[in-house]
Amino acid sequence: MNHSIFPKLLITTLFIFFISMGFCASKSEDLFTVLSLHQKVTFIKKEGKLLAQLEVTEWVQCNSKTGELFRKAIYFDDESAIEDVKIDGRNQKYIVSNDLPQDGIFHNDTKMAYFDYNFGTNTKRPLELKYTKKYFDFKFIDLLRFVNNKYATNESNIVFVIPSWLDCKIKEFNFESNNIVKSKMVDDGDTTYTYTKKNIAAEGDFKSKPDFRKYEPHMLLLPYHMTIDKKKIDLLPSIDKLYAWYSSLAAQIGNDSKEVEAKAKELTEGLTKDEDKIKAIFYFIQDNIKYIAFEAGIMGFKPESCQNVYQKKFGDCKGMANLAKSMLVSLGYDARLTWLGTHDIPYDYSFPSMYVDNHMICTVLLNGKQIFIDATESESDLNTYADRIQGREVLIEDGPNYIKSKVPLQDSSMHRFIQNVQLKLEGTDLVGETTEQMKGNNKTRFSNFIKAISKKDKLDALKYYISQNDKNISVTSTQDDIHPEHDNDFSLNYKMSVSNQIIQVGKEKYVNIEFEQPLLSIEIEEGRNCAYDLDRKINATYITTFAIPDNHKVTYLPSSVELSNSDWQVKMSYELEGDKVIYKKSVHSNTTEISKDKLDEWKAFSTKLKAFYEDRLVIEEQ
Amino acid sequence: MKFGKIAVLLLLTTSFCVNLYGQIDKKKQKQDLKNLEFYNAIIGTNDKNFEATTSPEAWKDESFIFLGISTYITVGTKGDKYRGINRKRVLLQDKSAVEKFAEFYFQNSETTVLTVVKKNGTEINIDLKEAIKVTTDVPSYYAGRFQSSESSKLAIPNLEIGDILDYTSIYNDTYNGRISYSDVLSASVPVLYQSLIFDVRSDFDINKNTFNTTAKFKFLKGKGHDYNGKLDEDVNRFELEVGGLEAQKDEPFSSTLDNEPLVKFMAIPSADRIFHSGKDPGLIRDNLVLDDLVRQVYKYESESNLFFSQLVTMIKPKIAALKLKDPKKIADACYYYLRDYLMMMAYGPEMAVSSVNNYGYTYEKIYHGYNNAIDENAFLSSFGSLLYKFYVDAEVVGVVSKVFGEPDVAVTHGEVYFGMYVPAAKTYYWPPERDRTTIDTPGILLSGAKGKAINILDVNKKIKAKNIEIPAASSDSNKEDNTMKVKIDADNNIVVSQKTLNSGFLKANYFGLIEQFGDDLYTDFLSMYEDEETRIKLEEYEKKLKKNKDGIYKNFLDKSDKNFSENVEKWIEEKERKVTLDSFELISSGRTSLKPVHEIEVNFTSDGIVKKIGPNLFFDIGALIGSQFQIEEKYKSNRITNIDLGKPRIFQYAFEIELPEGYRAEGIENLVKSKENAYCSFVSTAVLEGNLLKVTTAKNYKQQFAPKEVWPSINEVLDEAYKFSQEKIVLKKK
Repeated sequence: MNHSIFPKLLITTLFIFFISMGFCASKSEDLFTVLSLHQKVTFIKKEGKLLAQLEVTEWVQCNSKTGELFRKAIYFDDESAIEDVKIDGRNQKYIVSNDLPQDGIFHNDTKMAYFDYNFGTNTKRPLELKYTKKYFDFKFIDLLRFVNNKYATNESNIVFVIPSWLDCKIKEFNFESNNIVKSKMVDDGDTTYTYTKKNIAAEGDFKSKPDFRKYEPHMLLLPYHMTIDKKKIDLLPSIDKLYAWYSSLAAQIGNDSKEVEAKAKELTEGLTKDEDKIKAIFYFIQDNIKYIAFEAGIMGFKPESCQNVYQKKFGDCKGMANLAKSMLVSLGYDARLTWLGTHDIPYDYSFPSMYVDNHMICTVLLNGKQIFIDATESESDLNTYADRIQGREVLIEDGPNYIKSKVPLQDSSMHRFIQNVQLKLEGTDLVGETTEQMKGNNKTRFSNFIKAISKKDKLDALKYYISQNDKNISVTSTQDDIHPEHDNDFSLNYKMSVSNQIIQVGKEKYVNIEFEQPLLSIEIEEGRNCAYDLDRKINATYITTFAIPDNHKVTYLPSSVELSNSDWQVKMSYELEGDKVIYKKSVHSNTTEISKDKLDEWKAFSTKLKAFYEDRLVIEEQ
Repeated sequence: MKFGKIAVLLLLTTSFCVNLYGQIDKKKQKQDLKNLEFYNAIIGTNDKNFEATTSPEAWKDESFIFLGISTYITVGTKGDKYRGINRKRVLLQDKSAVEKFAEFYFQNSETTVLTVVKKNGTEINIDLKEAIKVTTDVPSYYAGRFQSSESSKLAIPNLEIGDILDYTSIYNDTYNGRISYSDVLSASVPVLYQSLIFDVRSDFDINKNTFNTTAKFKFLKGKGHDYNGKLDEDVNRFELEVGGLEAQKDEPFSSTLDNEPLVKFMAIPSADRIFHSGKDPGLIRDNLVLDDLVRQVYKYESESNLFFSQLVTMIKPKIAALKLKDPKKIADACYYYLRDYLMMMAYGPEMAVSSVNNYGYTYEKIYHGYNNAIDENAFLSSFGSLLYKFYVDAEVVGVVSKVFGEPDVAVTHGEVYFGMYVPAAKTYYWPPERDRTTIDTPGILLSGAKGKAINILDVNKKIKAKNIEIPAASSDSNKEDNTMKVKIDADNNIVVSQKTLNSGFLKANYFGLIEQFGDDLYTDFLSMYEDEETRIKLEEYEKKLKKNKDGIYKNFLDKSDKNFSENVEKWIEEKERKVTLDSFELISSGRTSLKPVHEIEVNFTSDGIVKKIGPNLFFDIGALIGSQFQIEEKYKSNRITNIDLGKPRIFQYAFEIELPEGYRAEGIENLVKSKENAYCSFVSTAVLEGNLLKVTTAKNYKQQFAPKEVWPSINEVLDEAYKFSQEKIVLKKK
């Protein structure tokens, strides 16, 4: 779940893509071709403010002779408006849909203006679509992309007309090897930059795509200054200015910490160690404050007061971070609000833009160390950082200044998963005992799963977790206490019986002892042009010990498979050790994705892995 | 009535109004005011059962329970309007319940009151003005009577374990004809108390009954309230109260109708009562009178009715051209013509092209626009009148499905299925559910149903309807019959040539596997008759189509073919395997009586079935019959409810597997299985003939209903089929 605090900036761009995919009349991206997409950004000064507008002209061709429904969706929010929507020169009516659902966000102010164009049977003539999007605040200007739907685009132009009174940088991303032609023209003081990209293929329907910002060419406008009546006015010239704006919003919170201070003292009564006190606050918020994100207007940026979050028992990441800060400060700790972008965002604070961050946490400065508290991580331990924030640059408040720092990258051994299975043959079934040791984020994930289940359904849910709904796996007993505790590794023990895994042919038994098949679901599609996003690093070891039945010998063991590169170390092997077969799988990654340059290697490995999982060990009765 | 409660409610009304109306239009404000006054008048007298705050010990482990559910409806005092109140009181017993209920949803068209009762008894009225309009789906636990697109949601502040959510919605709506209510009283979690109150004007006829519970409706003459909430002596009250309802049992193959406490209620306005055995309005009965109903559904259509006149004009020359004399052939022709006319006319190819060009339709809408069930009364009246027009004697019939029980326990009209019987053809004709419905595939609920029949000429006469019983469906008439020829290629993929025949109601599983416009209603109608004249007409029609091959019509057919092709791909698709469709052919759509079996041939290639183990091959043969039920251990013993296996049906497979050269099959003896009882069976055979391995399987659900005592033997059959689905054989290198 992405606990974004500033999603309004992103929704507009992201949703253009996703919703147009979702609502289109056909599943095929071949139904339409965008012959030409022309986007022009211009600026005006009004009452001392910088306003911007985006004019879009799009020519769409229907590739089916039978005609299709083309649904156009345009996104805006409280900081922008859609005007002059025209088709073939005529005004086009549209429907506005509010509060578009977004995973993890309770409410956002994103609105979708949409309409359907029916090509009917007259499909020879392309559709000309025009509209204008006006931005009331320059900070909210969308990221500019060369595509705005999933269809192939023959030619895409993005034009920026920068007036002489505006000092503005165009920041380019992922332009390498993308054949983008740039031109610059100065006319009457205005500088016009034109970017052209041709022959853009239709978007492939790839699994686990990373955020488009990680691989797709796009641009971001960075307006630094403007001149009004010969006066230079700062817009967003630097991180200092960005921080100053964030800081000004934080200053307006209106915290009244009496109530939370009393609670903080109650929670830490009798505790002497700093770490214990910080934990008491962190875990109290995790257990008692529900994450519900409101992302509308200024509330997308301004934290809610600590007393409101405490009393309502819900809040977004900003509100929860502010509550954590207030409680800790009331105990005398140096706790501070901290801005950051999660791992979806490939930007850092090297340039001033609200697109850089989408999350807020609290940082405690203690004895020269920084302790990062992400209060939205409802089951994680103190000093255990989710993959989405590890290694991310942060902006820690520091009065009128700020501190740039980074959430540490944690050694994957801190988040290890180890499964030990002891299996033996009993009749025609395999029976065994399993121990699963979970640390760090692996423990957090399990804890999140199990805590969401009602007491009555917990055992069933656990059985489901273990068997993954494989009806052949029957969990015969588990430990009573299946809820992980904070600050301790968790060990899950259970007994199971597995049926239909042995095929007997004469004296031979073909035995399957593989029930998990890790990594098998990763499928690298033909033509994939982006990394495969796994959302987390993996550090898992699975060891299955199979006791060879009396009077049997192993006649066949599947051959090992292995993948080893700078990001991944994977090895699956069967070994004979005395009267046991040791089946070991180890998966270690130091990244949350399969990078684009390693896709081919993975594809070859996946084929081997599939064959490996299909293989079985063979034993023979003597 | 408690004064304290009234005061709270009045206060609530006032504060509520102030809070609620900030941004709502005046019309809604007025409606809310009226609704809240109504709420005070009705609930103010009936809230004593909504004061519970604790859960019985036995239900402490539930995530949440309903302390109270009440449903109130008043009808008959304001034209076609009715007004209702739904109230629920939920005790949140663990964190998952708090998480679940913390986001409150309500419908904007209703007036909603939400109160949180804290553990110490403090009542907090939640201000709904901060709620946000949403277009997202309302979670099932907050879903109301129906879900409109206009809803709002609100995050409930400070919700904790032990809190009670008490929420009420007040609504008004209109009804058409009769008010019918049928519901299961239990829920997925326990219900401490539940009440149902219907206030109905005294001249309405009432059918009311309860099942699987000892609770009965109380009749309170003149104690009902009118549309405005005023006590009205001309309004009767029907009140039902139940308590201590355990959570619904979630056993597999279980019917809630058979096992859970049920309530059925129907109010029939006096204007809607045509026949009630000569009695005065205001009859109060436990059950409906089927004899009356069968007379009401059929009305003779004369040719002064434009629609009927057009229908007669169109069908008459066709029947004449075909020289139809046999009453069955005439009845069949009328049935199919009417089916196609009523269900396909709007979407036939030419009409579809015209609709797209002229009326803003989209092809998507047309392709998926086949779900509109035909109006029952319109069909029966048109069909009966057509038969009369062509001198075919017919009876109108009304039967009650065995799912609901015997006809004399039916309460609401919704339990009755109406059709026509043609004695000379010895055939029942039921309103087609879809454009693929054939005469031999009556609805799923009609097998063995009992009811009444009366000649269409006698419906207005004082002649008693006779008793009838629809022949029970046998599993043999509802069959999915698959024949598969399987080869293994060099890459260990299986190359399959499959023929599937579907009959009876199982055809409904294959709606997508019928070409949408490959044969239109005209050819369909004519193709019923395999005579020379028809053949010539069909050829003429095909020529006409060919003339248009390059036109829009062809494009439309192409699109139809593409759609069909995609559906076939979906049909053969497997989650864990890569299946490639090589070719397919629809042999018969199964849409007419002469060719009632749906038949399709498909050729595909699949990986994941044959796996290499050392020098040998492993053939996952069981997977070819698809996934089979596997009853979880916890459901295998201590069965509480009787068994509903669904309609009798058979799924059978015949595989002919060509073994690859140089391999021999081992382990085929494991493929031979047999379990059988009076209710179901699974039988499989396997023989080796040269290099051909021949395997057959048949899973037969012989009867729909079975007593719970036979559950172990049914389990054995289901297990046997599951075991087969897990079987593999080894192809050993010679």
